[in-house]
Amino acid sequence: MHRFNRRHGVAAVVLAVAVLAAASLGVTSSNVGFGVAAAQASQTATCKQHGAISYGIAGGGVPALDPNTTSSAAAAAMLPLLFNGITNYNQDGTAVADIATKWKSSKDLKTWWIYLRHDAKYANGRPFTADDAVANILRVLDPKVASQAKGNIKDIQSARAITKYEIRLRLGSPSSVLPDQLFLTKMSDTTDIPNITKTGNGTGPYKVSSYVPDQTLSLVPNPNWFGPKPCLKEIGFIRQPDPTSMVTAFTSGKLDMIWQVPVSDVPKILADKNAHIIKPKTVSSVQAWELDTTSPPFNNVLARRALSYATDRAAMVKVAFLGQATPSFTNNLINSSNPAFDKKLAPYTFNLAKAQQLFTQAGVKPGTTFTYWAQAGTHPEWITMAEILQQDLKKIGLNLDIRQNDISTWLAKFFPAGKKFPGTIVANFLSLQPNPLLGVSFATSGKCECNWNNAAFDARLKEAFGIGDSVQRQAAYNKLQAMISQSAPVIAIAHQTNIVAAQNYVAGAWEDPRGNVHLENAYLTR
Amino acid sequence: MASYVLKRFVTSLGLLVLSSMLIFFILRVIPGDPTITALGGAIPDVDPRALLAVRHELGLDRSLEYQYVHWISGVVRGDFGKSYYSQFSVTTLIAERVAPTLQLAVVSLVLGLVFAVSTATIASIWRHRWFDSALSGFTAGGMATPSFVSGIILIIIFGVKLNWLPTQGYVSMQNHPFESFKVVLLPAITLAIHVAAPVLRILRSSLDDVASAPYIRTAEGKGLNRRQVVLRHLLPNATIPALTMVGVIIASLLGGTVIVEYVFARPGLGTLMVDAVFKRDYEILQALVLLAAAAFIVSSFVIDLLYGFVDPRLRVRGREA
Repeated sequence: MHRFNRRHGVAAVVLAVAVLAAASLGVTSSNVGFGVAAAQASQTATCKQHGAISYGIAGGGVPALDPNTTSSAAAAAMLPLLFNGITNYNQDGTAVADIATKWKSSKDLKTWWIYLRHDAKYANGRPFTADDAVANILRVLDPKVASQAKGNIKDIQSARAITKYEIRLRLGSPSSVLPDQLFLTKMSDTTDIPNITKTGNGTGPYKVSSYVPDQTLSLVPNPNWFGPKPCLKEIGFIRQPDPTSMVTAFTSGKLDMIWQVPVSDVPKILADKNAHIIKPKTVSSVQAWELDTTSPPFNNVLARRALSYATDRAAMVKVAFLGQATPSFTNNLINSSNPAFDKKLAPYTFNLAKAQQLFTQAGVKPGTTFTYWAQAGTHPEWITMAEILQQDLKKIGLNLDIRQNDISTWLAKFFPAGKKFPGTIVANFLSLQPNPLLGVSFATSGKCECNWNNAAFDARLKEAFGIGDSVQRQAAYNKLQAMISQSAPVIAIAHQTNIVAAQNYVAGAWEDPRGNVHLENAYLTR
Repeated sequence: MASYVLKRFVTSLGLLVLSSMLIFFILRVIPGDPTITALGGAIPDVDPRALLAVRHELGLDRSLEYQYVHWISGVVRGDFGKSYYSQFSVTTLIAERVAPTLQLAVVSLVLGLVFAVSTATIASIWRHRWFDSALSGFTAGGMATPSFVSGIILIIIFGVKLNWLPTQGYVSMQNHPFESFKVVLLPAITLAIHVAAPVLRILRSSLDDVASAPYIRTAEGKGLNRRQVVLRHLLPNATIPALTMVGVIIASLLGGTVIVEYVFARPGLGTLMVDAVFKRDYEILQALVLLAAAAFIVSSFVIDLLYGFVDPRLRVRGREA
């Protein structure tokens, strides 16, 4: 007979503790990562050709190479080529592992462990370790560093390298979507901060071959990339003087891909047998109008709702966007194609009589003139929308003064949050993140230039972050969407994103929900 | 002569200092802020503390006087500061971009002057009405048409329809001299039109004035043919007024290249300046405008000295005075 002795008892206790510890752990995720998997697939399938892609950007080039401080939308395509993040987005807008291999969280969702690849190296050959991951996270969190990734991860209270390839993050509040939140933080080489914006030293599939700020950027394969060798021998980002000459250069075959194609040129490209438009699977960015909710008349929610009813979204999508957008009839920051979209929200059907009634109730007198504030030289669709609104407001006795400004003057009017701009409707393109919580977090107090500082919304949002159960989380999403729709701190016109065109021989390129192009797996079929 | 040179030098320096003050303070008056433009972008979320930190790092929270003194003391040492965006030193950015601008300026100047002088000379020798009319038309059109219009027309004809020449970019002379010339040709012709038109106008008028001088009749009376009269007597004397125009054109070429470089996506000082204006990148703008002012002052000075070289009478009068 087997006797139960002290040694067995200790073993049993140890085993019980291990079981209990495992039970306290939350969800584990183990993804190879979209980038590497797709790269492998593309290489196996069609990586017969080697060649170069010339990628045209109109009106401005890549101004700087520091991934955690650059705010240039034009630079977004180069980021995943040079740098990895802990996570990345796939085409559906869900976060997948990038330089991480997997992660897990505590049951209370306040502690996360992230496991990193062992074979990642920077382009200069230096191995990437957990210390680099922590250094980048801490740099983004540094109050002195102007990083747009900060907002996503500001709740991280501590970041520590546990082993050479494992980090632990402790949060102030529970978060079920930390992997999504980490997407914006890229793993740059923090050991060379003074040169970080010039060298672009990262762990991505490509490295910098030559760079003239705002003009040209040439990338070649990174020999130290941990994935399969990229199919292209060079990717060149070439600045174009303006959208018209960019499209001309594309249609004459001088460029292989172009970004931010004007809506009016889409029919021309669709008619071209040699080219195609790359469409994202879903769109999270929004064409919106921002209002100052702390200055008259839009400090009155009735005036904001009135403006929403006076907005003929269907006409704007048809005329300004030539149908290349999805109207946001419910004034929602979340696209109707997003699974989290609340289908029960009441729409703001175009109704001038109702708009007039609400404007009157809000104290807006006939003859009042609003100012429409747009950028000059870009986004012609903003002006078309303004002209439609101008005509409609005229019918109910109100005026709209359309002003176009250079980008600095345009921005200085309403950015950052806290500025007053009474009676002004600011046209803007909100490149929101695909995760619904992160998307609606645009309306958080102190973040939105609309100055909508709503403590109830903030509390609900914070609560929603900590919900792990999908049914409860959807209920939380619905409440948040309803609050934004009913309060209308911004007027969401349509979900639309940057239009990207490519020659037919370019394959493997895709566009994410925010309108950024991904060329990591691009290859040529000729 | 020495005192004249010294006097001009001191005046030029004073003008430069005045220009530096003007550009510095005017930039701060226009709306927009480099930190806001740098942080704005397409994604809304910036920590206000970061904004303050960036302004402090860039020295933008100091008084204007402090900022000016700090900047000008750097300029004297050859340090023009750093771009707010790329963090590259302004000197590096300018050095990278000076070759395309210089190439464009030189080629357009040579093309324009060769065209103007040769056609004016031919018109003076040949004296055909239709040729004169054609030149008058070219002069009027060249001076009236903005450079971006002529540039776009050339792009459409030679770049798009005929596909003979590239319409954008830059190739270094050292790497591919022939390609480099092909790429610079269209923008250079665009600028050359605006060099040639006023020079041709002045030169034609000046040639007509000099043609009625007594010594020209003497030369013709001596039995010289028309070509010899024009080349040996008319042209050298008619050049002096045109030289003034050439001086102004050389000095203003930097401004001319701004538009042309932007139209042809040429990575020169012009596009650098336009980008800096949109982004309120003060350091780059200040440096470029100061350099442009210096170029203008220096070229005016050189032209003044050239007068004495071209016209011996000015040297004699100067000595006598």
